[in-house]
Amino acid sequence: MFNNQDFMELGWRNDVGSFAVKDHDVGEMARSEEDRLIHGLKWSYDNYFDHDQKDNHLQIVPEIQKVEEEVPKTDLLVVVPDEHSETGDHHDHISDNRYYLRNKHEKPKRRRIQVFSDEESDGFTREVPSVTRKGSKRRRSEEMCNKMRTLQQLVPDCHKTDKVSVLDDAIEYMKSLQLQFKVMSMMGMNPYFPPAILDFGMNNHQLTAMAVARQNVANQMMSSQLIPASNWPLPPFTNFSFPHSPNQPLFLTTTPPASSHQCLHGLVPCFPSFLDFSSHAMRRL
Amino acid sequence: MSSRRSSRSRQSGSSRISDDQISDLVSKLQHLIPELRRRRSDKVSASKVLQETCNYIRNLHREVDDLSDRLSELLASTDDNSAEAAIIRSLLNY
Repeated sequence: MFNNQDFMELGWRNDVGSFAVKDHDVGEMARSEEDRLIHGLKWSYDNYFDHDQKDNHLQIVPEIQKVEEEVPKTDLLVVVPDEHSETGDHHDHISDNRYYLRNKHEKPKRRRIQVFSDEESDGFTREVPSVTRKGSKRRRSEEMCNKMRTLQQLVPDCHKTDKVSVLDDAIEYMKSLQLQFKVMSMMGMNPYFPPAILDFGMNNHQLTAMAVARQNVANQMMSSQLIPASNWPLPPFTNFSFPHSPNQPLFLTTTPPASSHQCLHGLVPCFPSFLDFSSHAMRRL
Repeated sequence: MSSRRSSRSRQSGSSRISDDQISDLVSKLQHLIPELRRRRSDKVSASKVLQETCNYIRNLHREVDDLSDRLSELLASTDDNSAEAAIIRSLLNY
């Protein structure tokens, strides 16, 4: 049957692309339910993925069935829960709203259609009224694209437009943002709070790398913990950097020379992999 | 899952990989968002995840800005040569 994983995929399939209903004459000839069962509806997406130039055919077949569990075709993306199955047989209404759901007067008993409307539902299946499935699909794909675009605008330095890259960048950016937020909030609440207690987890790599990179240049060794803002793009994040604007203070930067070794003492435990180096540095104290 | 497999049977290999990738990334993203982390399961749609991501990032931006303001006030009130001042300054990129 379906699971919600399918629906997530369904959402993702609706990328920029055009829709083409292959069998235009389905409506005419498929008056009877048997016919519909046989002919179904074939949708084909063109170039639904940026770099995918091949034809990607996504089959959506209305599951018209006489029996509960019978599935005529394999790509079942449209199924309807049966809660409102009518008692009578309604054969007459389906001129152009074959896929009209939730219409108690018109919905035939045997048609089982389920459209997953992701922006409205919280994960459970919902029946959405849609005169044509094509319309709702296109809407959904457009909305998905819009959201990807907004995300791309929010995430700094996100140049590639394909979904995978945008998502990748967004994930990295979110992690860094969260980290930055954590650190800043701790500082804000108690500047005397020894940063040693901060647990950066896997972000140790990031801070470590930056600290190491800076080590070479620092004569005030303590201040070397903190990287100048301009060095932000560093190996762990190849195509990622915070915006260099005053409104968005960067996370790490050089400290003034004064009394920085206290910073070092505080920060060292946060970088477990950095410990050797720091102990060496500290020997120079 | 069988329907998923069969629905993919028509797709080319590369797009299959990408779709898997994408849903994987989306679930990672979902995991990062505290609001959505609670309702684990595969019940959250990709569109909702994206929406919440955008909202979350905007919120974080706002919070970070607020924190910067607060930190700069704090900086003004501390002794300039103290370690704390140094730390705060470093956070604020001065």
